[in-house]
Parts: sequence; structure tokens; C-alpha cells
Amino acid sequence: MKSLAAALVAALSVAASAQTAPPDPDVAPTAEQRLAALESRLDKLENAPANASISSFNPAIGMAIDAVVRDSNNRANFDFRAAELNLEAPVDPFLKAWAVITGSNQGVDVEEAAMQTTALPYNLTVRGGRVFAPFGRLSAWHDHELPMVDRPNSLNTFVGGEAHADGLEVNCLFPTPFYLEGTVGAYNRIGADNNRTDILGGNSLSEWTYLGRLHTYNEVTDSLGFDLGVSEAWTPKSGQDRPTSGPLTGSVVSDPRNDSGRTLSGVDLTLRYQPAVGGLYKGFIWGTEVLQNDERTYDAASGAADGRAVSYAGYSNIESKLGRVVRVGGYADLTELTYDNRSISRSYAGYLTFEITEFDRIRLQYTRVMNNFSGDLSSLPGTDFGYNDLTGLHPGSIVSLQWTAVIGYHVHGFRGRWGS
Amino acid sequence: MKTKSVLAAAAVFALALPAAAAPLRVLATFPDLADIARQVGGADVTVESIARGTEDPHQVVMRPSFVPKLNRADAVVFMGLTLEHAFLPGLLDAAVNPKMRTDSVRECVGPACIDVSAGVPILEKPATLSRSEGELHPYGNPHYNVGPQNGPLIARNIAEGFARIDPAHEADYRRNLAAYLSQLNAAIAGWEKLVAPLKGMKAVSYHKDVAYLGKFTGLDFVDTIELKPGVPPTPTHLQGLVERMKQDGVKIIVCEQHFSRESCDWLAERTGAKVAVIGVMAGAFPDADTYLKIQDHNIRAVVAAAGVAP
Repeated sequence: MKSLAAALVAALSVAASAQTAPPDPDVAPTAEQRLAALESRLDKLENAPANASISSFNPAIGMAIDAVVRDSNNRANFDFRAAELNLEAPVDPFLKAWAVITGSNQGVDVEEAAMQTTALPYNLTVRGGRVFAPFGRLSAWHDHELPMVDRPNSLNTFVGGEAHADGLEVNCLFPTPFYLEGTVGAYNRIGADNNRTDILGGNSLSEWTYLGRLHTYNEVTDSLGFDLGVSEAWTPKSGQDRPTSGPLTGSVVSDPRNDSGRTLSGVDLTLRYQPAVGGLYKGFIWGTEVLQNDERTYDAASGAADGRAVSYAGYSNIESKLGRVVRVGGYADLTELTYDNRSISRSYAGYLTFEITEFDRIRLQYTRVMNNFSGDLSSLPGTDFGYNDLTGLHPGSIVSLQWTAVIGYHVHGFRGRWGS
Repeated sequence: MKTKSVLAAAAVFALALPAAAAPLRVLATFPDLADIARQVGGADVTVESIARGTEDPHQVVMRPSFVPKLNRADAVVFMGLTLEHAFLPGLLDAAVNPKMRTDSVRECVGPACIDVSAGVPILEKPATLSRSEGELHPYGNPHYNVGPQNGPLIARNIAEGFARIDPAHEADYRRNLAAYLSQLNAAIAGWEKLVAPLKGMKAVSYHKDVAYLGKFTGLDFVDTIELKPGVPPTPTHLQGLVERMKQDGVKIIVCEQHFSRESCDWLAERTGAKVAVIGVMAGAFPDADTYLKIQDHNIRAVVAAAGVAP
């Protein structure tokens, strides 16, 4: 009996020591022990929750900071042009949304706040909210994304700067073997600086702007391709301030009656040479845009047509890589004033861009603006683009130094690809 | 009457025949992936590459001509790890193909997306995510195709993707995969012998895209000609690099074909190191238009620059 008790105690103590004793480092673990340890670690990994937090659903955030120093006509200005906050995220399986909120020396503005479908059939996409309407080539680009410091005067005068538009648009990628897309849209108005339509009050549908655009791309060779686009923006009734008489000598009256209609048409062509060999260091983009503004006026009482003003504007720019970091470019712009096609402004610019990295860019530009008219531009309709009197149609020589940086989330969008 | 009967019989016969399945329309982001996809897919796929082999993979031109192709594609084969961030998300967004949608984390999500990075042992995962360290890839070094050891895994991932999308031809894909793997593994065995003397030798590269080549060859890449990833070299950096190469006894300068040779030759002149020009994609050189050929070219280039015989 004593021996049985002793054996029991001995067995229990062995079992206890087997449970608590650390593995002997001098004894290599058996294959079974290693396998069991691995299985244990694998179980822990597989059963662990996903490495995420509730903030994972927050939108991707990025910001572009854009500043320009200008010197013109013995006046200089440091223009804090934009700190542009970008937010973007999918909404659900059918929709994505984004917002671009800009702070500048003119205050805070919502440049874009839009929703876009992601799952419609027949290659259709619907966008709504505040968008950049796809009129032409560069109107839908934010200022800091442009290949030059300031938007060409033709676009500022005819479109009204960046193509802000509150409305709804439908885009279709046509089932053709080559790239062909079409967009139709309806908006309160198009153009950030377009003050023809009051967007705060309600308007009749005849005061809205309706857009149509076709855009195609084709390749001539493996390295050479071209984009071709046609756009038309139709506003059945639009008011426009205009001088009462003479090109620029009379006083300016506003046109509260909305007794004019407007059709803005444009053709844009972009030629890209992007060689496969050495493409990091060479290549060029040549782009041209021609716009026609057709204003018709009607008698307020009878509604009969009583006048028509057609004017043209356009620019052509070319930009070439001089290496991995440096690009050189220039443009020529010709702009007839929308209410008087005898008043013409010509601009010529040359610029040198240093892409220090993908997120850091410096650009130096010289611009010469010459007008065949004179007058106080700040009081003339369609000539003051809201920045200051060192830009736009103000005649003279302008030297600009632009510095742009991007932090945070950054995406290479299809529309914003180089030279679109 | 007789003619009508013959025509009717022919029509019935034609209708009774099983319709030949159209090949899977595949777009691959890079020529390496396109080549492997052709080997694995055989006659059951048509494959096209978005990038050209001579381009910088970080700056592939976003050509709109690929939008309609992506719109109709049954599969897109891509490297992942954000390597295609410059062109794939933008193209997918424009292509509005419900089977492949752009995604900020995985570049492409949907049943038609084949991410060949699955299972690849990722090297150089960044310790910190700050752009002060250059243009970092947050998930790690994405140039795993430059190391031949990853070729079999890429091929397996493509075969699995094809079988998932087109299960009717799964057997074909498995058979093609086995045949391609036997070729690839034989080549890898040969390259392993060639690179054996390189183990421990010091080298520099233009860009930080040779980590996987270093793992395969045993070469120790101590620095890059670029100041930081994506940031061109400065004169100060190059001068410092000369000193470092002399101190460390660097014998090889790996210069990727899509970068200018100017800096590589300048360094070679001052340090006595030899330049090996490699391609990071198939098609980087006219005679290296397949994955096997570009790997062979790269291995022989570094072996020749090292001046060693196996």
C-alpha cells in the first residue's frame, strides 16, 4: 500500500513537472512539436480580427498647395492661390463621391462636391453635384494642374475660368474599337467666374446651360497619338452685362432681363509624342483649342431676335520634356471680347517647369499681354477674373513664379493625365 | 428543291455544332505578365500588354486606346503593391467595366482582377511611410518580377486566375502551366549556377528596383544612384556615392535600361566599377521580348559586369 502511494506521488510529480518545465534549449524540438507550435501560431493569425480601425472608412485625403509670385507693370504680388483639400471614397457598391475644398486669398470655396455612379449598365456613368463640366481641353482642370501658370485668357473670357458647374451629367463610353466617349449635362451654369446667371435663386429651365461633348483618341504610331474633342454649351436665355455703346467707351449696364441666348462651341486637339524608348526624358504635347461664342439678343417685349454677336477665341500651347525634371513650353492666345469682337487681346507666354519630384513643382513663366483696346478693365464685364490686376487681360509683361506641392493622397486621374 | 434540302441540312448541322468559345480577352499591365499569361493561357486567351517594355514602370503612359480594351476585357493581370498606380486606376475608372473596378488599396477589385503578387515574399517593406523618404510603395518593394525566383509564383497565380474566370479550360491552363514551369525551373537552375560566384559582391543600382535580383544573385546592393526612390540624383549625392563605392569596394553598377546611362558611366569612370544594363520588363531590349529572355539577359549582364566565371 505504501509503495502504491509512493508510485502515485511520483507519477503526479512527473506529470506536474512535464506541464510546467520550460523546454530544454539544448534539446531540439521534435518535428511534431514544431508543427504543433506552427499550427498554434497559424490559428492565432487566422482567428485574429482584421487589422483595421473604424477610421478605415474615412475618405482618402490629399492637399495641393499652390502659390504664385507675380511681377507686372511695376507691381508685384504674392498670390496664395490655393490650398486645395481633396476627399474621396466609395459610398456604396453603386456610387463614389468626392469633394475639393479650396482656401485661397479670396476665401473658402467648394470647387467640387460630387457623386458618381460606378455600376450602371451600357457603359454609362452619371455624375451630379458640383462638378467640373467637361467643356473642352483645359477647362476641367484645376488651376494648379494646368501646364502653364495661368489659364489662357480665351478660356477665362469664354468659359469663365475653371468649369465649375452645379448640375447633372451622363457620360457614355461608346462600344467602338477606338476610344470614343460622349457626355451630356444640364447645369445651373458653367464657369467659376461666369456671373451671367444667379445660381442662388431659382431659375427657369431655359436659363440653365446644356452641354454636349464628344471626345476621341487615336494612335498614329506607337509613340504618337491625338485627342480630338468637340463641345457645345447652350444657354437658351442668359443675361450679360455689356457696354451701352461703343467698344469700351460707354458705361456698362447689366442685363437683368435675360433677353439673350448663348451658344458656346469649341473644338480641341491634342497631339502627344510619348516615345517608348527614353520616354522619361523626351516627348512633347501640343494642344489647341478654338472657341466660338454666339450671343443672340431678343426684344424684351416681343421676343423677336434683335441682334447677334459672334466672337472667337483660342490658344495653342506646346510643351516638351528637356530631361527627367525639366520641361519647356509656351502658348499663344487670341481672345475677342464676347460682346465686341473688334476688341482683341493677344497673349504670348513661355514657361519652364521643374518637376523636382512627382509631388513638388516649380514653374517660371513670362507672359506678354497686348490689347487693341484700352479702358479700365476692372469695370468692364468679362475681363476681371477675380485674381488681381496682374493677370487676365491687363496689358503688359508679367513674370510669374509658381510653386506647387501635393501632400497625402494623390491619384493619377484619367482626365488629368499629362496634356489631356 | 434538292439545293434547298442541302442548305437546310447544312444549317441544322451548323446549329448542332457546339459554338467555339471565344478566347479570354486578357490585358496585362506589363510585358512580363503578358508573356507569362500567353504561355499559361495558350490558345484559350488573347493577351495584350498596356506598358511597353522600354518604359519606366512608374511612369507608364496612360493611353486612352486601352480604355475600350479594358472595357471589353475578361481579365486584367497586374503586379499590385501600387506599382501600377500611375496608370491602372485611371484607366479602370474610365473603362467602366463592372468586372474590374479601381480600388485605392488593391488597385483593382472584382472578379476579373488577377493580382499576381499573392504569396510573393515581399522585400523592403518600408519602416516608415513618409514621402521624405522618396516615392515609397507602402506595401513593400513591388519589383518582384525582376527576381527570377518569383516567376513560378507569378505563373501559378495567373493560372489560378484564369481557371477561376474560365473554369471550362482549367485543365488546359494547368497543363500549360506545368509545361511552362518545367522550362522556367530548368532556366532558374541554370541561372543559379551562373550567379553562384556573385554572392556577397557589392553593387549599386540606379533605382531601388533590384531587391529581388539581389536576393537571387546574392549581390549586396548598398546604395542607389537616385537620391531617394523617384528622386533624381544630385551632384552632392553622386560625389558621396563615389566615396562610398570606393570604401565598400563596389564592383557593379546596375543601370536600368529606361534610365539615362550618363550617371552610371560617370560613376564607373570614377570608381572602376562595371556597368550592367538590365531591363525591368520583357521587351526592354529587342532580343529580350519574353520573361525568360529578359531574366537571362539580366543575369548574364551582372555576371559579365562582375567579371566572374561560374
